[in-house]
Amino acid sequence: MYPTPFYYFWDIVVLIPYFVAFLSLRSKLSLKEISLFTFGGIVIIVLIPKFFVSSVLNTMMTYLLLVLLFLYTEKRLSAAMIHTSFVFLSIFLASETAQLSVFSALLEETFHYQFLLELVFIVLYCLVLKKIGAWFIKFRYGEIGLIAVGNAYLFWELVTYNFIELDYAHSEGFLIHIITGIFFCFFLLFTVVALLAQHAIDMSTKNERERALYNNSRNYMTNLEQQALEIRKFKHDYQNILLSMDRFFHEQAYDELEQYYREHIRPASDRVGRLNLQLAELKKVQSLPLKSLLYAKLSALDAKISLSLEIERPINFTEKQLIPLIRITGILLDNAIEALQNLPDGGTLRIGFLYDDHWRLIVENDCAEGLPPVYQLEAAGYSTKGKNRGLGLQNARELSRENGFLLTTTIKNSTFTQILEIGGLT
Amino acid sequence: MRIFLCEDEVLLRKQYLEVIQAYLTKSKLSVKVSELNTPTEILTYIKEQPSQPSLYFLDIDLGPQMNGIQLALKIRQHGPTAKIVFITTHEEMAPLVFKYKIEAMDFIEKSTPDVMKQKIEECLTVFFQRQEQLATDQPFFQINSREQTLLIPIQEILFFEALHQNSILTLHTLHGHHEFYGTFKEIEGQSPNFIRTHKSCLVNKQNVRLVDRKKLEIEMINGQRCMISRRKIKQFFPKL
Repeated sequence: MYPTPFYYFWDIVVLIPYFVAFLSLRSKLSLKEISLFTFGGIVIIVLIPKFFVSSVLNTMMTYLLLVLLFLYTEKRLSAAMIHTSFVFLSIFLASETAQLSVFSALLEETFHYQFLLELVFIVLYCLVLKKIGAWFIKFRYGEIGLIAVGNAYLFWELVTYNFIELDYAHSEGFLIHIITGIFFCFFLLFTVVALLAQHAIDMSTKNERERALYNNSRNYMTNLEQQALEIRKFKHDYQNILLSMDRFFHEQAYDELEQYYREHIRPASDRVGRLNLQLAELKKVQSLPLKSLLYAKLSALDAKISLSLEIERPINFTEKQLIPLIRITGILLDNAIEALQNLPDGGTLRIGFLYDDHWRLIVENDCAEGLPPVYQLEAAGYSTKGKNRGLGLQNARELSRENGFLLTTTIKNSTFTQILEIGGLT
Repeated sequence: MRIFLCEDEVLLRKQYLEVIQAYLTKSKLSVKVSELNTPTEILTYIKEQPSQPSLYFLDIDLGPQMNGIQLALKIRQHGPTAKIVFITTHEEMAPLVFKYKIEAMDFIEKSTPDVMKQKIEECLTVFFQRQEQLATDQPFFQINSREQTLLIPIQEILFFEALHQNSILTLHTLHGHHEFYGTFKEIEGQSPNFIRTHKSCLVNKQNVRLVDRKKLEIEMINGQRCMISRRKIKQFFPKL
């Protein structure tokens, strides 16, 4: 039907949407990724057609290679499959659109015009498919649906394409059935694998979540027990204090009594009073995991760190917001507490959940003077004292972005401030 | 300029008033100080008077109708530039609410007269300094996030960066970064120093340290880098 150069041409055309799709995924490309994709492109154009003369195998190998490449950049099988089928789909749709009679009437049916027209449509379809995909993926089974629909359409296109091709060449019905069978099995297998993989991933994240919830609740319980124990200890101390005071009164040693009061009674009562008062605010946190996280982190603070906790009104988040929120809160608190522990004289940790029409979590703490700028603290792997502080900030930022929260980080006048706006644009 | 004092405890109000008057005489400033007892008095007063730079000292506990925080929110609605200082006991203290919700200038914890005197004087000094600064008309960039407005001096701005999803912009300043919802279109015209260097970058030209022509990056004065396209290098930083 077509002259031989068309086969090479078709393979070159494969590369273009494949780069467009890739470029539209990532705004920043690392050199490694660029070279890898170029290498992949060469394999697709030159090597695959050489080794696999049959166009069926050729297509399948290209498909596999693209999936592998996208898997490398996307780290997710389902995403890789969606991108790959987008690349193929845009090519098929483009070539079909370019062959519409409207266009052939407009343009002379020369090779070059057809080529240019196809290119334009490929770019167009790639962008459109990406938008549709991004919209679709928001739904619960969006990813699976995209894979299934994408692969089914791909299968249909490939079969009809090969029907036509073989019809012209041999008209052997048997071969057509075999090819159709191979295609069918291939895409069916791939779809099933992707669905299973997706399911496995979902299950493991769900398990992880539940484990985290369980751990948090267990921590809270342990802390409560600890507190009960401390109260018992305090009762015991209290008895002792009364007895000692009794002795001071008895001997009328008022100076010693005053000294004893200053040294032993006052500091103890100060600390107990302050900590409990601030932590009493936690009663406004209704979700147990968040409550236990805050309790676990804040009840274990050094004595030299003073704490101020403000919660404007009872907090109740949806589960969807709660899971990332807990992870981010953990990171922000760890950052603040670590910075405070590095201060020889301690400092103040201020935590606030403020509500206007959305929640804001504010974590503010004193920090050492002359810290490097925030962007350096954030760079992965930066550490003040061998700990992965930088990683934390980076993770928090990514988590917040994924969930449509806004995160602000500043260091000004020896105060380290982290503000998380929860709720996104709704 | 005006100073308002709202405290329902007569003795305490007298004490604060003396400190303020002494400060004003010492620094040879003539500013009217209004003592007002109840929130309603303050609110009717500011409704009738034209707005002017004012400093409010507000007690948190102002009786049953309204507490200091609610009063402050009302004052904010009338005059967004009003400077507010809370006078508070340790139990009522909510530093983050003061700072981020009311955008209060400061707060004074109730304690011994000497400590409080020092704190009040500090607040007055800061207030008058700010008024002078405002007079020099330092340009600010405004982030409007729902109900809050954040003012950032333009000279502290390094660059804005767009993320490829949603419409979140990240503003990098000398002190860190802020995220907010917005578009480059809204921002571009706000300062003649803002230049669009890349699809995803808007740079404050006055804080550029150098242009890395090889890597196609701009280095800011704090060492942070952002992207610039080849075309924009030619446009904004032509070779001499």
